[in-house]
Amino acid sequence: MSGDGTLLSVRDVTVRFDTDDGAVHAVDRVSFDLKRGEVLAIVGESGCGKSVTTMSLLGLLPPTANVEGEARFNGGADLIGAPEGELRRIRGREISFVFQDPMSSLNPVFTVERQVGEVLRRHLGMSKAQARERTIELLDLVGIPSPERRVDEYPHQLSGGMRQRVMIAMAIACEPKVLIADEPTTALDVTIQAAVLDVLRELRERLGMAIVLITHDLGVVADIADRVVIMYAGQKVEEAPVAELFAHPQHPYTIGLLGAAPRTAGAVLPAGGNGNGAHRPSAPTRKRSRLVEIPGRVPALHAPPDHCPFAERCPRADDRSRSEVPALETVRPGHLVACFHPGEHHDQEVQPA
Amino acid sequence: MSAVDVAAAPPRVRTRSRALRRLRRRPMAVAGLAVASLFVLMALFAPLIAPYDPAATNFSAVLQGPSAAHIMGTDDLGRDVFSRVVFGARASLEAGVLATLLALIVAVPLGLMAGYYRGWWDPVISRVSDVMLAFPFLIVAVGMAAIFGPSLRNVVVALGVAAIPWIVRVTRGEALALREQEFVGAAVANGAGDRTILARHLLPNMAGVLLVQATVWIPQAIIGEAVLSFLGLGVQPPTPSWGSMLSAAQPFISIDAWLALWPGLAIFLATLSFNLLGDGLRDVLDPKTQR
Repeated sequence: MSGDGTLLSVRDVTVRFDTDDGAVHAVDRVSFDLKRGEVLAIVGESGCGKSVTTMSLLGLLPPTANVEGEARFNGGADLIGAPEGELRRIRGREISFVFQDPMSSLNPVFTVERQVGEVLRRHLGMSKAQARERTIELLDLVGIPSPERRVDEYPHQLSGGMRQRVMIAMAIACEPKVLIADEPTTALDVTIQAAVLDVLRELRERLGMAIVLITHDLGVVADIADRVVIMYAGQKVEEAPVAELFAHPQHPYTIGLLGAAPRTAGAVLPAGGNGNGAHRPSAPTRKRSRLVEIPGRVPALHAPPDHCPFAERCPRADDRSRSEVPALETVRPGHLVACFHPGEHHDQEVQPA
Repeated sequence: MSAVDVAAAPPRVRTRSRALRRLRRRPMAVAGLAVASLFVLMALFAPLIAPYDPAATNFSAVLQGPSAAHIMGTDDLGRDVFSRVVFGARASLEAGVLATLLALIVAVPLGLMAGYYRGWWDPVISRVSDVMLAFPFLIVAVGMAAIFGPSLRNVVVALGVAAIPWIVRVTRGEALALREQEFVGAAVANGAGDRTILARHLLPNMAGVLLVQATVWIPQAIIGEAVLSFLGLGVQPPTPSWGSMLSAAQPFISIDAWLALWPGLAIFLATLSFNLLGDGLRDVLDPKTQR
C-alpha cells in the first residue's frame, strides 16, 4: 500500500508507559502511511491512543514512555529513537502540531508576533522585521481579520477561534510537509469549527500539506478526510478511504461509532458526537430513532491483549474473539479490518437495553 | 471566558501599563512605592541632601534635641543625626538590593534547573537548599564575620546566602508548574530547545512571582543589615548605618531618646514601604486575580 508518494511511513509503533501502577500498553503495533497532500483522519474514543501514536513519532512523550517500531519521514532515517537534536530540526519545520486546547497552548506573556516569529527565526533564521512581515502574512492566510493589528496582541486579547488560528499559523509558519492536528476543533464552538476546518482544507490545497487529523468527531471526518484509520484500545481496527468507510463499515466498533453519531437524511452531522455514545433521549417514534450507543468502555491496557480488544463490548464476539487477536485483513479494495466477523450488517444486539 | 475577551477588546493596553494602572488603585501600595522611592533617592543623592558631613564631629554640640540647625539633633559625638540617617540609607539599601540580587542570580538558575530538568538535579538542589535552610542566617553571618572580618560586603553575602534556598524553592515550584503548561509542550512540538523553553517560556512567565520575591527580600535584608550592624558585624564606623546608630544610641536612651528614635523610624518606614509595595505587586501580578 505504500506508493512512491508516501511522505510518512509508520510501521508497528508500540508505546508502553511504565507507571507506578505497572505498565500501560497505550499503543499496540500501529502502522499507517501518509501520502503527499492527503488528509488522514485517526478516529477513536478518548484514551484509545490516537494522540499518543502521533506524539510518539517526534519524541514528544514523557520519559516514562517506551516507544518501539519505525517511522520514516520522506524516506529518511527512522524518527523513533532519533537523537533529540535531529528531532528538534524536524519538529515545527517538517512536521508540526496543532493541539486541542487553544486557550492554554499560547504563551500568555508574549504577543502573537513574538510567538509566531520565534518559530520563523529558529527554523528559517529570519530577522525580526522579516519574521514580523511573514507573521502578518500567515495570520492573513489563516483568516484572521486585520492581521497587522492582531500581530501586536497578547493571547488573552484573542477569542478561542482566533487563538486556534494563531496556533495553526504557528504550525504552518515554516510550511511543513505534515501537519498533525490533534482534535483542533474540539474546544471550539460549531461555527468556529467549520471556519478552522476551512482553513485546514485551504492549506492543503494551497501548500499541498499532508494533514493527520485526530478526532472523535465523525462529522469532521466526513467533511475533510481522504482516508480514515479507526483505533480502538491502542490498535488500528479498521482503515479505509472515507467514502468507502462510511458506505461499507466493516468493524462492529466502526459501525457503533457511526450509529452513535447524529444523522439527518443519511448525512453525519458534525455535532458534538464524541464517539463515547453521544445519545439524546428522544421519543422512540417511527421517524426519529434513538442514537445507538456502544455499551461498556475502553478497557484498561495493563497487558498486551491476548484476544480481540473489542470482544467485551461486541455483539458479534464469539469464543475465537475471546481467545485470539484478529489480524488486519483486506476485505475490500483499500479497506483493512481487524475482525473475525467483519461485515456491514447492523447488529440488533447493539441496541441499548 | 468570552466576557474577558469583550472587556479586553476595545483599548489595546500593554500589560505592563495595565499592571501599573491597577497598582494605582491600591493606596497602600502607592504609599509604599512613594516612600520606597524616597529612600532610594535619599540613598542615591545622599551628599546633596545631607546638610553636614555624617562623620564630622562637633564636641560643642553633643546630644542635642531637634533644632533648626540639626533637625534631628546631634549624637554623642556632635554629629548631625539627619545627615547620618540619610547616609545610613545607603548601607541599608545597598545591603537590601545587593543581597536580594545576589540571591536571585544564584537561586533562579538553580531553581529552574531543578524544576525543569528534574532528574538528579532536583533532589540534589532541593536537599542542598533544605540543608541551607537549617542554618539561621545570623549564625552564618557571625561565622563569616569571624572568618573574613566585619564589613558590608560580608553582610551582603551572608544575607544573600540566607535568601537563596527560599528563592530556589519558589523558582523550582514555578518551573514545575509551568513546564506542564500546554504552551511549553506546544513550543517543544515546534522545535524549541531547552534553552528557549527556559529563557523564553519559563522565566518570563515567572517574572511577576520573582519581582514579588524581590520586594519581600529587600526589607528582610534591610532588617538583617540593621541587626548585623547593631551587633557590630556589619558596616564599620565611621560609615553610618541605621543598625549601628541604634546600637550607639543605646547608652543614651534615658538622656536622649531621640537618638534611638530616628534610625528606628527609618528602618521601620523603609521595610514597611517595601512590604506594602510587595503586597500590592503580588495582588496586581498574581495571574489568579488578573482580569
